[in-house]
Amino acid sequence: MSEENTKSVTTNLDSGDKLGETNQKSEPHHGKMISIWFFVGCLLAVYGMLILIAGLSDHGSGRDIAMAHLHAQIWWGVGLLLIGLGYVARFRPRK
Amino acid sequence: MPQTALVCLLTVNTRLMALSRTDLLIILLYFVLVLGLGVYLRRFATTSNEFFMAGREMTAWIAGLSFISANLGSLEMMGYAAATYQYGILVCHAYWIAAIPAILFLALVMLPFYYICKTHSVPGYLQLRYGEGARSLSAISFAVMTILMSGINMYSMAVIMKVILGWNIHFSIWVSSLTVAIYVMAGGLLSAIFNEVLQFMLIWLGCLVIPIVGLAETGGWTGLVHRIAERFPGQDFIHMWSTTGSFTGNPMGIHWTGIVFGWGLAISFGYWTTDFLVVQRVMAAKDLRSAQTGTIIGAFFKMMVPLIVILPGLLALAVLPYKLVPETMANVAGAHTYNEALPLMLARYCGPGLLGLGVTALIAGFMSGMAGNVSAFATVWTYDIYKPLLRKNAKDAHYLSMGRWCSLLGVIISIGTAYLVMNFSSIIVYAQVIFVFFIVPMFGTVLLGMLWKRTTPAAGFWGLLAGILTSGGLWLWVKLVPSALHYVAFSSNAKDMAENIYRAMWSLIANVLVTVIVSLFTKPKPLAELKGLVYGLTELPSQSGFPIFKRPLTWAIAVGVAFIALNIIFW
Repeated sequence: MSEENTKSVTTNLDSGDKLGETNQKSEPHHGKMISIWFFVGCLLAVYGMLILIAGLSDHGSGRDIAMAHLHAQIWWGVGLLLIGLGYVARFRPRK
Repeated sequence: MPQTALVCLLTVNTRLMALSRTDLLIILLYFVLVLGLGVYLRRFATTSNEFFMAGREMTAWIAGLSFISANLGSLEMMGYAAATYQYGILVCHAYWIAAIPAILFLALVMLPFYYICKTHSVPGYLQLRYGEGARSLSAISFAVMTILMSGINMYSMAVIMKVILGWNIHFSIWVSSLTVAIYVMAGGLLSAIFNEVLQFMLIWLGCLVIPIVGLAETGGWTGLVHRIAERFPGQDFIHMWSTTGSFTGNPMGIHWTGIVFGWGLAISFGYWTTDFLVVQRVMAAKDLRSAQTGTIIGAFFKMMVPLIVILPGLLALAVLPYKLVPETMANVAGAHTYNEALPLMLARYCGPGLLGLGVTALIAGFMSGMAGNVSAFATVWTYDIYKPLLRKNAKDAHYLSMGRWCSLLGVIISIGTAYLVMNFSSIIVYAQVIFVFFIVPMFGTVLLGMLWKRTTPAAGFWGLLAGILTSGGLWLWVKLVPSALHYVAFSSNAKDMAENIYRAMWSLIANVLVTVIVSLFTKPKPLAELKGLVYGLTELPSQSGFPIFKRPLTWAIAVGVAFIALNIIFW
């Protein structure tokens, strides 16, 4: 991971790592690597949207799903969308 | 972890769930992303160090999630959910006592030696410590077992896809393995690690629906316990320790000594501290402290896995309107087997979209498991078999291309194995048994090598061999003379799982005894050659320069305390 990601990926466990500087050595010859969390965020956001849409259109169609009155799809869809967007915003590639 | 076998699911002809268009789109998007990542990462794997060790640049979080994800396969999840339906919460020991102490031990005691000597692999450590004999024995057995397991996983995945989705077996095998081949060839360990992080997120987000909605249905934990007691009167499914005072008091037929010494010590320490597949992940961390912290983060999430595996198994006991049956009774019209517990629960609560997410999580689990096997195989083959035994002094680019082609070769052999297993399904049972033969004695050999400078090269080799032969011999003995089970597992009531656990215990004892005895009668290596490899001759970096909350030890203690608390709560 790049130096930038080292700082942003981690929580208080790891930030400001003295040894983190070693990361930079192999970066120059192939540019900065986009953080894995950015890709994760994109996928989750798209999934969240799809599940949310499916949940809204499926609403009340009476399919044979236990506990359908909880509308798990809608809650889950919104949750994934928010988590996904959060990751995308935080780890988007910056110039 | 020794995975519970999912044998002969083929007998079922109807599929469990039908996917909607949204579900299929979700699955398709996963494949697109994975292939795209492979293409993107290729430019970052241009030297052998980058290809095999991901350049040793991983942060603690990524190394840790990848470490735990390499272990969390779909086969294992479904197998342990099935076992929970059968044996109850006792199976949770697989995630707690059979994992947490060993992972913390790896992080605090063993990892520094692996990391400081800069080896590329676990067999590589054995070479530095004991020489070529021990390395070759462990490298060859690891390479063979890894590729065999990879083929078995591939076949099991295809079977499960057939059972739950009605997909063609050949289609599943070829599509998934070619995808894995492409992205591992392109990015090496880096690709494998990226996919494991992705899999980790998908598995948690895809499967957490089950316990949340499930507990809402039963009315919380007390409601769950109540319903199970109502449906299965007289059986105890919800205590982890209090029923293990005798061999007959619990559904598994095991005594607590077997759980602690066989499962918790022999099998679990063998697997977690020496199986290169998982250790490779944390070796790729950017520095020793990240490697240690990552391992401890892994331990924390391992401790949480029962939420998405054991709890769904218990919920299945409580809420499914019918009872699941063993594999042997699967032919009864319309009956579902234990192994279908997790997919059945997924289908029960997940509407369109969510179902696709759950299925994607299972597919991701299989594919990243395969990628893990293949990348570990390529590393051990290139560094521990090809380089020392076949071609010593080639250019770096040569080993890099060897790694890429080996990844492809690994996938092709896996496909071959999958087809072999398709015709001889009993191979699955044997492979999982045999896996334990090799992994358990490794622990004794590696640990004695790290902690005792007197251990000699000859002892390393013969101790390892003695451990392997002991478990092989005991297994054969029980196979030929069934009454021998009484001596091996202390009880004629012992189920397969209990027998495996006790066999592992004997194997470790034989390994340690032979290693110590041979050491006392042979010549040790000169101390100068053991620098950086053995306790007392290795400079361990001090953590005292870091504030308390950045030290691995602090977090290890926190995880340890939570581990003890959980065991007491579910006593």
